[in-house]
Amino acid sequence: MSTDDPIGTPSTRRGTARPAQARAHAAALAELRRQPRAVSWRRNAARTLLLVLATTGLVVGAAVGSSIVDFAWSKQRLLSLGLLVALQALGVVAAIAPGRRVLRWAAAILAALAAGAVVIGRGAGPLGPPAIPCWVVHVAIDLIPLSVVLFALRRFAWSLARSALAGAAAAATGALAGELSCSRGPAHALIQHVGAGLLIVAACVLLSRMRRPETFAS
Amino acid sequence: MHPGKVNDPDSDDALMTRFCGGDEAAFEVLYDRYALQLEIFLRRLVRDRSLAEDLLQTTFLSFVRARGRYVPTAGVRAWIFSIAANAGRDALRRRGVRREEPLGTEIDDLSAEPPVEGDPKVAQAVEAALQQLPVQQREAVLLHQMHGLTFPEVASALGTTVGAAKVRAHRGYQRLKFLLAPWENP
Repeated sequence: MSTDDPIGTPSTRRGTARPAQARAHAAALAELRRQPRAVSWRRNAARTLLLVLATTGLVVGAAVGSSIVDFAWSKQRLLSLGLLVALQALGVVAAIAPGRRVLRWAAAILAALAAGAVVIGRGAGPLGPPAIPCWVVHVAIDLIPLSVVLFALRRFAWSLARSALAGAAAAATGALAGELSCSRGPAHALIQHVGAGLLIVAACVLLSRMRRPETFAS
Repeated sequence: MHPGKVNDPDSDDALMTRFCGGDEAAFEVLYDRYALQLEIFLRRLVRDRSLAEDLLQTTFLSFVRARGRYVPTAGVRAWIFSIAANAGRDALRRRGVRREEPLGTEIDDLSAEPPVEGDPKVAQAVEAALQQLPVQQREAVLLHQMHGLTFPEVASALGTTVGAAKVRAHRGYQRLKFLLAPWENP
C-alpha cells in the first residue's frame, strides 16, 4: 500500500467500511512517527535502577551525615545490606524485563532471604520504643523509590508479580536505612521493618492496579 | 502467513525487527495481518462493539509504544494477542460484568472468514454459548479455536503456562459441549 499519507487517506482495506480500523491505524501510525525508534526495555530498567540506587545513596549519605549510623553495628549487618542492594537491582530488572519467569522467581526468593536476614541477623537490641516509630521512617523513605517504580510500571499491563517485585525493590531502600541506623531486636525488625516493607509492596500493587497503564504489553 | 520462516523477509519477526527500527511499511504489513483478527477477538471478548473498537486502537497504540520490549520467543502473533487480551480484561474489570451486552448479530458483519461455519442458527448458538463462558475460558477458546493459536502461543498471550492454558481451554470446551448439547441431539 502507499505510505505517502496513510493518515489522511486510509486505504480501502481499512477505510470507510471499517472506520474503527482506520482510526486505530491512524493513531498507531501517528505514534510511530512521533517516536520512530523503539526504546529498549534495558534502557528503561537501567534508568529506573539508577534512580532507585540514587535515592538509596542519598538516604545512606544523609544517615552518615547526621551521625545516626552505628558503624560497628553496620559491619555485622553486611549480609543483609548486601542482600537488600541485590534485591533493589534484581527486583527492578525482574519487574521491567519482558517474560523472564525464572528471573522473577529468583527476585522473589531474594526478597524472602533479605527479609529473613533483616530479622534473624538482629541480636538483643535496646528496649523501649524509638523516638519516631521505625515503620514511619521506613515508609517515608520509601515514598521516593516507590514513585520511581510506579512511574516505570505505567508502561506495562498490570501484573501482580511485576508490581510486587517493583514494590519490594522500593521497600529495600527503607530497609537499608533501618539496617544502618536501628539496632533493635528481631521482633522489632519483623514488625516495624519487614512489616513496613510489606506495606510498601501492597501499596505498589494496589496503586499500579488502580491506574490505567500507557500500554497493555506485558 | 503468520510467523513465517526465520529468513523470510515477510515473516513476523523480520517485519518486527524493521518495525522496531521505525519502518512504517513493516508496520503496515503487520497491521493488515492482524487488525481484523484482533477486532473480531476483542468484540467476542468484551461483547461491546464500541468498546472493542476503542480497544483495537489501544492495542495498536500499545503495540507501537512497547515494541522495544518485544522478545521473539512465542512470536508476534502471541504478543499482539496478549496486548489485546490484557486491554480487554482491564476494560471488563473497570466496566464491571453487569454491563456486558449480548453481541447479537454484531459479529456477522465482521467476519471476512466466518469463524463458525455451517447452519447460521448453529453458528448463532455457538456465539451465544461462547458468551456464557467465564472470561479466562473464553479467551483460551477464542485464541485456540477461533484464531488458531497454538497452546504455547495461547499460554504466552494469556501470561500463563502451557498446562494452565490447556486446562482453561479444556474447561471451556467442556462447558460449550454442555451448552450446545440440545443442538447435538435435537
